[in-house]
Amino acid sequence: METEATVVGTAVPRLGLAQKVRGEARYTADLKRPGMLYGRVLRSPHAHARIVHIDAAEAVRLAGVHAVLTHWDVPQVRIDPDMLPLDPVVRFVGDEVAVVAAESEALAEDALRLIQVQYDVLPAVFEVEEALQPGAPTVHPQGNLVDGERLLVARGDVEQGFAEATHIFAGTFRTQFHAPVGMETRAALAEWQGETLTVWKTSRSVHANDRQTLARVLDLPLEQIRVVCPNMGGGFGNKDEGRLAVLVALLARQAGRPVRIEYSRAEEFVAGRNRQAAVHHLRIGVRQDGTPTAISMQSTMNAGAYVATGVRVTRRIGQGALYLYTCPHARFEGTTVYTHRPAGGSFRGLGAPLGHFALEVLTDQIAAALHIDPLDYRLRFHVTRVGQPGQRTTPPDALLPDEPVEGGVSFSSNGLRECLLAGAEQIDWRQRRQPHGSATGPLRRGLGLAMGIYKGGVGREAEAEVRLTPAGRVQVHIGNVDVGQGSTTILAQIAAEALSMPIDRVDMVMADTANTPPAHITAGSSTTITSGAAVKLAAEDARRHLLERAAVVMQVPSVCLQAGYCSSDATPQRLDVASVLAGMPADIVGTAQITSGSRDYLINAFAAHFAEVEVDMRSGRIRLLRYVAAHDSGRIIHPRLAENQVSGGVLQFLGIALREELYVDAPSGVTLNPSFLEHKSTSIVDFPPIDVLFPAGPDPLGPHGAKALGEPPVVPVLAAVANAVANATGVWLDEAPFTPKRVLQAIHEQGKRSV
Amino acid sequence: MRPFAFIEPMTLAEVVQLLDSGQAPVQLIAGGSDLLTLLKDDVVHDERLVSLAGIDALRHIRQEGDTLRLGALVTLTRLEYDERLRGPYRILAEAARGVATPEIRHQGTLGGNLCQRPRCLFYRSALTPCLKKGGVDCPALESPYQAYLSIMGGPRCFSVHASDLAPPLIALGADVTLVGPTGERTMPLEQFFVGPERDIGYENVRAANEVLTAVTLPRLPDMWRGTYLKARERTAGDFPLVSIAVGYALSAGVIQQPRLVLGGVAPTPWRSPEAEAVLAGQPLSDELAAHATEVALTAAQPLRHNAFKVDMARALVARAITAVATVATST
Repeated sequence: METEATVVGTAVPRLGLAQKVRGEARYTADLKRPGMLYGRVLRSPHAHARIVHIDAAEAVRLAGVHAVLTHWDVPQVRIDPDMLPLDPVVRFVGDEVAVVAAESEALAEDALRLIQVQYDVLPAVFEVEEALQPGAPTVHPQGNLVDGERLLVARGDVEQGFAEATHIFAGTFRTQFHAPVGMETRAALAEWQGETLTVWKTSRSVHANDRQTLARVLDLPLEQIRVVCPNMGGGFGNKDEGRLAVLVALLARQAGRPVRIEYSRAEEFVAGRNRQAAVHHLRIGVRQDGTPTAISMQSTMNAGAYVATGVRVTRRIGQGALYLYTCPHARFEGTTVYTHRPAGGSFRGLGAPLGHFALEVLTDQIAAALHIDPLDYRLRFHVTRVGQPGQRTTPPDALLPDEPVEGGVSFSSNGLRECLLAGAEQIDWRQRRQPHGSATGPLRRGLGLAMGIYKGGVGREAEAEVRLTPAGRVQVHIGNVDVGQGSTTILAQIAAEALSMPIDRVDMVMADTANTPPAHITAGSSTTITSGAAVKLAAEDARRHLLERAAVVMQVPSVCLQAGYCSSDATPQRLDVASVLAGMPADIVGTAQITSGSRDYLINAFAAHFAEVEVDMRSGRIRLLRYVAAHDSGRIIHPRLAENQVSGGVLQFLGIALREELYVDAPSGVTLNPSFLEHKSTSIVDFPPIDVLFPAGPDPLGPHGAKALGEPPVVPVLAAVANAVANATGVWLDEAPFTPKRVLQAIHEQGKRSV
Repeated sequence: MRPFAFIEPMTLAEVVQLLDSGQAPVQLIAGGSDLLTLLKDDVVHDERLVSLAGIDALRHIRQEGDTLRLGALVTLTRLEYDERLRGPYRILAEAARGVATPEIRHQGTLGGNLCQRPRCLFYRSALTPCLKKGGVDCPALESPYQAYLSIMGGPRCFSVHASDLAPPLIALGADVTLVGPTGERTMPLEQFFVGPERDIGYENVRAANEVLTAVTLPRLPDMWRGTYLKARERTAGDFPLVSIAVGYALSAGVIQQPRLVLGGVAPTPWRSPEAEAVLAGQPLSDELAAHATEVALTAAQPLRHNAFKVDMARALVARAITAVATVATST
């Protein structure tokens, strides 16, 4: 039955692209309902305070104001373990205090200024070290250490490994607090019809997050809640705050009219979920020839006032240290700490780019100290398909995790070597890389590289329904959100392929709880591999039903399907699919329900990135000249979208490598630069040409051979840039972003001069 | 944003009268690219905005005898492209091109650029105290975020003047004209700007009832050329960390009429007559450029977290001094 893929692997036109280009695509903030009001949020000016009294009488009296809610007016049911819909205690500057719904946004803002809040200001804590001291101000009653303990994951015995080492290298690395900066700010619109609620919202999970939260906090049955996510202008993992949907729903109920809240850009920076600052201590023991004997990393993350994703962000910091290099002994200790900074959350790659920064820069320092070319060092010691030494600890019948620790398990595929070789060839590493720090003069050029290992996007449950209609259309129903990465097109391709149908016959229904089966969160680079697998199975199920039907129509024992036609050895007659479907009384329905993953193999994605930079030794400015990103994400379903995914991720993290940071003033807790201008979000003129390569072949397990690609492109970027700067200047950078100030300081401290 | 009244007078006299009426807090608005962000961020609370948009006379660029008069409403885009800004005046077009982004250059005006308020993050946040906003504290001094603060002292307020046009205009020897209830006054642009030692609240001598109407460029020797360099974190859409305008004429290889003005380093555009004296009458060489650079920065007294700007300024000044010669000989 398997035929040559015709839709998968080709750059079909992206679904919905024309509407986006023409400005016709509707985003949440474009939506209007009859009688709709505009909501605004009153935010705390204090980093830590107890609300003693709120007088909203004057705001309520303002003509055109239809609802004002404070913590007294909302259910005191937890959205997350650390979060209430509105709380009598505020925990960062920008924390929600009250919400207002009025006839216009301006009126709603006027109303906010009329609300009198009396605060009892409490001591605040902004740094991890202070927050962990006994007697420090507590952010939440359960203590400042998130989950009450440090996270510890290990393979082998690092102490034994360090004892076997001839050299031990160590470094401390710091990564900054910054914002993901999606182009679309978050927004939500709620409308009640009797006791039935509809919420349109920027979301990464209408099923698993928003609808569940709304049901729990509003005490409504799930059936009475519909959540829809229209087009998304950037996901990046951080649109998973809990309060927005709840507050907009409560406002709409109170006002008796639909209400929409749209965040301003400043609110998005301050009260969106941001990447938290972290410190990483890394030690690597190696033998004389460079063979790693022990890798040990301790990271501490300043999580801010709320942590929706808990320690998962921190856990991902350790993945490179635990698994990127073949090493019997590895250990990661992660500490996640509450402070009175703006709330943390998920952001593309979670902790992985941070941990890889430390790991891959220290690896270059090892290679330099041992006089080994960093490319050769990696070719020699990167983890291979056979995985890590050691004993499998996952029970034989259980699915293997895709954030592995244990040894004794092989990868389904591992293209690190192909990525290293292809990338090196593309940038001409062997010819063009100068010895470390050998450049002279005021402008110095250098090449750097870094590898990355990332989750495979498995381990989640997915459901899909594929319907073939009498009108000859294929309808794919899947609950995931296309956060802008193009999963609508990818999933349509997978369905079209399975049904041997052209892609323009496929209609996608996504991200609407009323019309799609339950779905996992759009996270962890899982849509293609997990949801794609469900779509493929559901389409194959539909195909079976279709062929049974065609056999009846054609009066033959069995039928095969090719290029939109049903045919049989028993007859020369061919019948197109549309004709088979046209005679049906109802849709043909194919369904699938899966848990993705493998009991036998680890599934991971890999990458090797190469950067070329020019550093002005006098002004400290780093200019990116060229970038090459080679990825193993298995079979590429849509080459164009995949390239965009990679170059977009690289661009995003080049900005984070070079300049983007949010400044939080202590002791006020005020975020000082909540704007595109001052956060230094990068504009297009600062980006280098980026070559994207996919040198590895299909994975034996993924749907059509695919593996994860959403987040892997961001993983090696910080390290590739830092290593290129080190190659050019001889100066090592250990703190991101690499601003002119830090570069000049590093040049000064490490005793390098401009000539 | 708080509500405000928007008034659109048609004559300059009306504008001055409105400013002088002593009613509720009033502010002039031209392109608005600075003022609107301050209003939106709730940093200033002007209740009445008097628009200059109706005063067409302020849009002219006019040759007046030996001088070139630039109206206050001339946009940055026009400065970028006007063909009269060549030869000695080329430096102004170059500096205009480095401002912000094309969208803002279409909107932003010459007068607005010179009257722009400081970029200090603490001034720009409604939630932090600031001497300029009438507070008694300056949290910027204790903050690690000092990249956009002064390296030439304050006193008390260490915000810098971030205009990209002021350094080249001062290098060109431009005058500025103000019109108020008692008539018109003209002064060298250099004297227009004042530091916190004279006025902690405002960065120039324009009185609340005055309008900046024009900037006038004097005639310069045909051979005079200038260069404007700007160190910034992004290639587009950024204010200077440090900027430098250097100009001179090269006559038989000897520097004449040198001007050297730094931006982004002090509460006012920072002219260095001492460095100009080093350059004047000397043949250009790397050693001379290095010496003038040292002299230009002898007054530097960086804060705890911005010493890197002194290095950056040194690199930029030396490069600009040399670069002028390239422009001077190639045209």
